[in-house]
Amino acid sequence: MVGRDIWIWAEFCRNEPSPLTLELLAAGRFLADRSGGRVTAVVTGEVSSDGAATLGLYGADHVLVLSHPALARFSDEDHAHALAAAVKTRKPAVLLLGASIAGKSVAPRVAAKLGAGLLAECTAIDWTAETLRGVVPLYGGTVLATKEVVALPALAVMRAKSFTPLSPDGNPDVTVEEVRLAPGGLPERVKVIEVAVEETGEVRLEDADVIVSGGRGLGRSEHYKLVRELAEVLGAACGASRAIVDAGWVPYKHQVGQTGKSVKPKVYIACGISGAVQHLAGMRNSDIIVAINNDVEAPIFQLATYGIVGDVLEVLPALTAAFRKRASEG
Amino acid sequence: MTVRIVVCLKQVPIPGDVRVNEAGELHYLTGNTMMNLFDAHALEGGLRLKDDVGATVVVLGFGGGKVVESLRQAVAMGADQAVHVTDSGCESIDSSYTALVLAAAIQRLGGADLVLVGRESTVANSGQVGPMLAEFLEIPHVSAVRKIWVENERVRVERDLEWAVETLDAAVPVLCTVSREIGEPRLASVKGVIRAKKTVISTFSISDLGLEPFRAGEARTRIIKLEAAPPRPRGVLLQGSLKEQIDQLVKLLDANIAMKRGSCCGR
Repeated sequence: MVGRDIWIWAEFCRNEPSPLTLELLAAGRFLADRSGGRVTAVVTGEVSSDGAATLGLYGADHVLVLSHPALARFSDEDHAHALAAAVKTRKPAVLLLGASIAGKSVAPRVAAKLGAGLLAECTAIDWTAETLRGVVPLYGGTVLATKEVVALPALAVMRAKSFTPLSPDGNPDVTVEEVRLAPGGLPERVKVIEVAVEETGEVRLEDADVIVSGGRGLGRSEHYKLVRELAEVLGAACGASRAIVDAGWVPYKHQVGQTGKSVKPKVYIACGISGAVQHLAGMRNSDIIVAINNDVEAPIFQLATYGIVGDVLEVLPALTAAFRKRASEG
Repeated sequence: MTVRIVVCLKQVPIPGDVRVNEAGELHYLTGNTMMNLFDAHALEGGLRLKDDVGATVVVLGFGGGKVVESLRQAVAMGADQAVHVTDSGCESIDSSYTALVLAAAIQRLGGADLVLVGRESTVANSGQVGPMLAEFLEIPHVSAVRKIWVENERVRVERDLEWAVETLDAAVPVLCTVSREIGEPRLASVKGVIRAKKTVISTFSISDLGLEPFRAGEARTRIIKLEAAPPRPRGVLLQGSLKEQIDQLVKLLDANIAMKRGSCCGR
């Protein structure tokens, strides 16, 4: 019989739970309080005692570590295999994963292995009528589908910023249970032969509270530095429209939109972005949208909380200077 | 050995074409559709391997008649063979069933060394079908791949995680979900367009594949309701001189910007 426990798949970067993992713990706590179960953070690989303690502080009742040499690095099939086997044996009600590249890769494979229902890209979830419900945006976020999983266990992939992490006043002495998987117990058909960590010093789009994004209205690739300068002053991440990524001004990882990243910062400042449907799909859920564009008819103004109609090459430096002045004034 | 590549293509509505009314019914403003953008990149990845190592590229589409447009476009771009699995008359909204059908079709075609799919579709951005398809084919998969090399029956790929770039290696067969960075989809050549017009697209029905038609009642998830996303409240265009506008904006954003440098995540 399926239990009432809520599992979350914990991801780490530099031995710390990723921001999305802390959000999943809050989501897990919310569901567990409603289902009457407990929250287990499942780690496939290794976790330091500090890392496990952090999971406890942010809402985990229990940490389950599935360890195996092949799980030291992220290989899609092996991690899915380990996770699916544990779900099959221990029967939690729900398994939550983050909409990271890894989470979106592991979740469907686990669901297929178990024949379980998966709610992907959820922006909200709830435990209703003894099962899992979720809100899933479709067609660039213009349509919201409320979906329900028919039978437990249920899987859900949560988009970043759908839940706010809890205050870290949970249990630092959380119980950690390590299960060593048998040698040969994983497929190990794909080997990770190199991991190049990017030390760019940049704020990541997914984690940012503020994003400054540039588009074709900047005119030339050199002008993207104006976006970087404002972002620097604000401690913000740098975003981009598809047009300037395609033009080679900035790498793909900065692209916001339907074929880039979906973001949900507190403030999104769109500089010289007209607002193609594909771009709006990726940023329409930002709390505050600021649009700077010289075309008053640009679609971005339909979504903007505050708009400045003007030349982005004049407005951006002035805005950067004003915020710099404010910062220096404390 | 000639590498045998199957690329799965999905036909999707053009961006902005779908609306939902108050009764929760979907409406298509023009009904126009296009090849899913990430799938076009997957196809480009396959065609580049064909250019480099002499692969055979088979494109596979499951769905109503419109997916044939994408299959012909793919042949015009350079695919060798196109296969259409016709749906059973009901709208397939179940990723698991789609993956099951594609797996059966690939097995019926004699398998593949490399299966390429777009990393996600622009309908739901969920990216479910690729990993599920790999599971049903009982082959490994790698998601969000941006470079692929094939040599001596081994596949080496590079993919972007949020905080690292990974290089992975495996023996064929492997499924890769493909990211945009693999390269811009090529344009069809005139010769390709002529060839595409003459190409006979093979058709499989669901029963040809030995499967039962999709029944919504057997899906693992069900849709409770569809509704339009709430409209954003009407915003304001700031007025006055540039300096006045900037001052207003700084004041308006004051409470929402912490003005401190965020931390960067590295693994």
